[in-house]
Amino acid sequence: MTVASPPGGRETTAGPPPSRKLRKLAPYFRPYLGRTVMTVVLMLVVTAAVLAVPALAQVGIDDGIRAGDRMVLVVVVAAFVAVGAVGWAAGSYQTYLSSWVGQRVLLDLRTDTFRHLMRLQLGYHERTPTGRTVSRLTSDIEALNQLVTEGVTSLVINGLTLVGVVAILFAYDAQLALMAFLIFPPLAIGTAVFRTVSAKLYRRTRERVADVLASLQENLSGMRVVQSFGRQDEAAVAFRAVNQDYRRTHMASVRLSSAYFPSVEALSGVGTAIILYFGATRVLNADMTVGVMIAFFGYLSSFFDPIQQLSQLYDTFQAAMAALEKIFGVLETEPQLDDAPGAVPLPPIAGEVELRGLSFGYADEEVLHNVDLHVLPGETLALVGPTGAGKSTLAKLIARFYDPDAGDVRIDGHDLREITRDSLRAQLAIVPQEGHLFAGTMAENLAFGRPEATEAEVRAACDAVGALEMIEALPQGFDTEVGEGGARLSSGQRQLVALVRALVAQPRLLILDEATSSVDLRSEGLIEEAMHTLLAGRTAVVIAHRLSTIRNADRIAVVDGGRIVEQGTHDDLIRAGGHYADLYADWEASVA
Amino acid sequence: MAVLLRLTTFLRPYRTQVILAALSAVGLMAAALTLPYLTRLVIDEVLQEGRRDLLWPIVGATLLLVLVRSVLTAVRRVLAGGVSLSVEVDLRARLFAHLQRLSLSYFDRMSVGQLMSRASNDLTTVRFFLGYGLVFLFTQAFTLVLVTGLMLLIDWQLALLSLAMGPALLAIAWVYTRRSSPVLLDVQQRAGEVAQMAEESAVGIRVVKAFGREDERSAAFGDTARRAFDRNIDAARLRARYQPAMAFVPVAGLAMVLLVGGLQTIDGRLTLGAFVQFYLYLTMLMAPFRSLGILVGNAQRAIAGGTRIFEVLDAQPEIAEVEGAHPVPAGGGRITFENVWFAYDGSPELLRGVDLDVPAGRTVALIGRTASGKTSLTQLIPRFYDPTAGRVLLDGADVRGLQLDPLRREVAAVTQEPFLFSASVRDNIAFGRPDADEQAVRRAARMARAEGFIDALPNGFDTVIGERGFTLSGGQRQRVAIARAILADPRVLILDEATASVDASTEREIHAALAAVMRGRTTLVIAHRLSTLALADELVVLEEGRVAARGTHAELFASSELYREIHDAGLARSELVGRES
Repeated sequence: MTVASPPGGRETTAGPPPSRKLRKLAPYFRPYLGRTVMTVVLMLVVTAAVLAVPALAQVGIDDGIRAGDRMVLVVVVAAFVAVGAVGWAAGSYQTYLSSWVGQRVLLDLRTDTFRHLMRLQLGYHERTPTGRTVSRLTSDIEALNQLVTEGVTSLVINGLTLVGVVAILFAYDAQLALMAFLIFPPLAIGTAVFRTVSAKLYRRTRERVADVLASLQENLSGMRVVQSFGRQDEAAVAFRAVNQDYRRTHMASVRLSSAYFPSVEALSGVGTAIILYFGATRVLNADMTVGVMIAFFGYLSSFFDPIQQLSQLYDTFQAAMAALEKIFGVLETEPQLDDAPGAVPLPPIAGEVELRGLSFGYADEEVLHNVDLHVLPGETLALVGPTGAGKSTLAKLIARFYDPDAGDVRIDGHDLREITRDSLRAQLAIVPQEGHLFAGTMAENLAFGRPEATEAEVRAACDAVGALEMIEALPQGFDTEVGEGGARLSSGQRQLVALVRALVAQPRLLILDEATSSVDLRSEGLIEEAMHTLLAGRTAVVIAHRLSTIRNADRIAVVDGGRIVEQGTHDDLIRAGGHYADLYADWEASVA
Repeated sequence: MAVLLRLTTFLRPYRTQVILAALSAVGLMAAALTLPYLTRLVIDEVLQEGRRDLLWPIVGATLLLVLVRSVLTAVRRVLAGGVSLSVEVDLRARLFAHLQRLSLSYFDRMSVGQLMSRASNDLTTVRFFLGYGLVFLFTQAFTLVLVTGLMLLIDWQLALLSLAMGPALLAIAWVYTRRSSPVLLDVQQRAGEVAQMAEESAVGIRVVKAFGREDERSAAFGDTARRAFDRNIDAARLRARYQPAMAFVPVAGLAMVLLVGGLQTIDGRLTLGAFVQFYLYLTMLMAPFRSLGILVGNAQRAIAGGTRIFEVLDAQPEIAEVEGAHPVPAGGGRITFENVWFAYDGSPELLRGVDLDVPAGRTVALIGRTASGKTSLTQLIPRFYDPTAGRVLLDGADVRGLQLDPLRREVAAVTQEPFLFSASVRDNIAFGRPDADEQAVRRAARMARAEGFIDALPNGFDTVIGERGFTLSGGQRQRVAIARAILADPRVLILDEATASVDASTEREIHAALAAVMRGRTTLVIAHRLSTLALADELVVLEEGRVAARGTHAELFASSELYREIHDAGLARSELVGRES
């Protein structure tokens, strides 16, 4: 089996230049401007402390040792220690501050991204694979984290050092400095080439890493299927292929840097040789002191170290820029279903739902065509129809998971687009087929929709649907931790929990989308009863395939091919002899 | 420390490369250490003694050494980089292979997010250490020894003086390691928690939106992220306290040398060249000392990451093939449960003495209340779990004594939410038998009543489906899963609410498909709908973890209240009951 590449192609990471991406990050630093400025100042101090060392050595050698002046030597050494101590103190404070600012910015960015993801409409999440969404919050932030913890400090200090060294060398001896910098053109060209090629290789490597992780994630999610078909070996072979592919791609960039970094070293050696020759000649001609020559050696190595370190950082930097691009890609995706300007809160509703001339499609395919539907307050309406007819889509439009392409959805006469999202959600609950549970206790999950619900209310809701006994039988009852996805509960139990969760939320309008497909009939009967008692007088829209559930509805609407083709009570529809009668006959035949 | 040692065992297959990389490192250090000597010659011989003739040879020697050093550096980098990459790839493959061997109960406890975090974040820390860290450590240790020796040669008193900073550095490094080690482990742990929460929120987004709990969820995520932040800051505080201190100590040593060595030079006891050489060596030593802090941090992150990886690698599969396991005996798929007891860890007993014999080729429906253990019972047959007491037999053989993969291949399950891979429809159908030819795949699809809609897909059987591909409806996914089961040709078929989410017409289609598949196999059906139960020859009622009743539809109608309930709910309309009888 081969792991397919997604049809939408890989996530591309090419984009605007880094400077523009970094500018977008600037607002995140603004709240911590004081600390940020302080950090930069401290970095300047640290750099100055580093750069002072060769200069002090020069003074020590020329004016102290060669001049035979012990006093000067002592002063120089004292200055040396003082500079070191300043560097220590500044370095310590700077390490803490820059970590703090960096981590704080990442925390804000991560929280913002999460908040934004939560705000994005369901359509976005249905299009975007889970793994991709998770990466935005984890590996992408992690890539930025590396830049923040190791990179930024190194970037700034090395950059400052580079500038400082050039300035100092020219101040000492412009002629010798020019000689030494003869090696600069090849260095610049080599570095430019390295950056270009490395950027390409690095991007490819990251794409391979993404493939590896996607393959891993899929296999972990589908572990039950893999094991049940005894396909572990084959899955391992397929995984090895992506894994090795990654290795090959990454190795190319290892080879590239193995060529580049030693070349930089070689150039630095050439620079040293140049200084050795010309410096010595000038010293012999008494144009220069020995101390200056030695200082030159020191500064030259301070020049090449930053170049190497900066080149090494380049990978980290690129990864961080790519991550930033993707994170801002999420942050700049406009939530489509956000509250409109001037949206008003929905007042307490009676529960009247009206769809008028409603059309809606995903991507290019229209799913619902010109649907009109009116649900009276307190009514229970059942939507039936073949798989793929558009029933769930209809339910999602009522819950405003999507906005219609044409027509409108009104609740108690309010167009959903003109009211606030939170006020709608507070009065409406939709229960999907998969009862997803979150990590936390059972009690927390049950009160998810209304955390302020009292224990008695939660227990009453459990009791009403016959779930109390099941929950109390758990190891710690209501305090039992349920894992991610509630792995330990059967699908029927999860649906029961999901239903209780909806009942506890006390919605004025309840939508059940196949919410009872896995529970046993007695539970289903109890649920129906519970809806009548706990939600007396509230409106319900129920999608179900079990006709036993449907029959008890006040009214049945048959959806077929994206239209409502029939409406009426069970008896009306049977008598009419249309679609519903056919569906019913199918069901009847399957039972007989 | 044990973790580090254990991590180094992953270097074993690359022993040659590691040794060569180390030798290159030795060579290039030797070249690097010769350079200060040449500087000394320039100062003492050329500048002080005025021997201009020596300048050219010295500069030539410098260039040569530089060249040698560069070549050796390149060799070392390719080798070390390659090894670290190989170790990463190997470790990930190991993790993957190991995870596949673990029992499903392990995945009940460990979330996908947590495991992914180990296979990516934690693995990166290990790679950094094993690749760069270790070679770096070796190079620096070698530099330390060699430079110390050379300094002792030049001036042993001065050397001892300057080396006094060594113990101080080691003491600081030791304290730093001890204090930051638990913090760093915690940092990784918190990162895992963030990943887990991100994962479950992304998966459960529908529920979050359904209840309008976006803000609360964001706040909860913010708290989790904040805890990760707090631990990162704790780590930063330790780093700020110790790393710059480790950088300062060598500066103090250098100052001492400048003072004492300078005075000696003034007194003429040391040549200027020797003094400069000594000074240059000492600056060379500063690099290893300065990077000691970074290296220690590196190693600690690797320990934290390694610990979390080994936690996975050390998890023993609770269900493994026994030594000398037998092949699955020939037979038609008779299943026998003998006094089977079962509980998920930490939960009360779900099955309490199930005795059930399903003859080969029979179709038996399991009915019972929600959570009566129906699904759990079927999962004991392919050994996804083992019973806590009692035996499960397939064609007369205890499944615990059978070879695991062949056993599992004899049992196929179609569930309510079947998992399909991001691959073509063909690959998905042929998942259990990848060697199947085009015709066999088509035949399976036809039998599952899936051929029609598959041909109508954009690329027919080559259409990529799954999370990263074309979205199929529930009923279509179900039929692909049935085709997959047909092609695998198992002895035992389990239908676990396979048609709970489809409408009556589609259900009829699927049932027609299933009837063809069930022929000649033993089938266990779990369902709540009477229409599905109609597929079964016989019904078994599970209650209180035991078999409460079994029989045909007519027999159970007389004896089982549960069955009557199902029956009545399905046939509540009097006219239908009338018509049926």
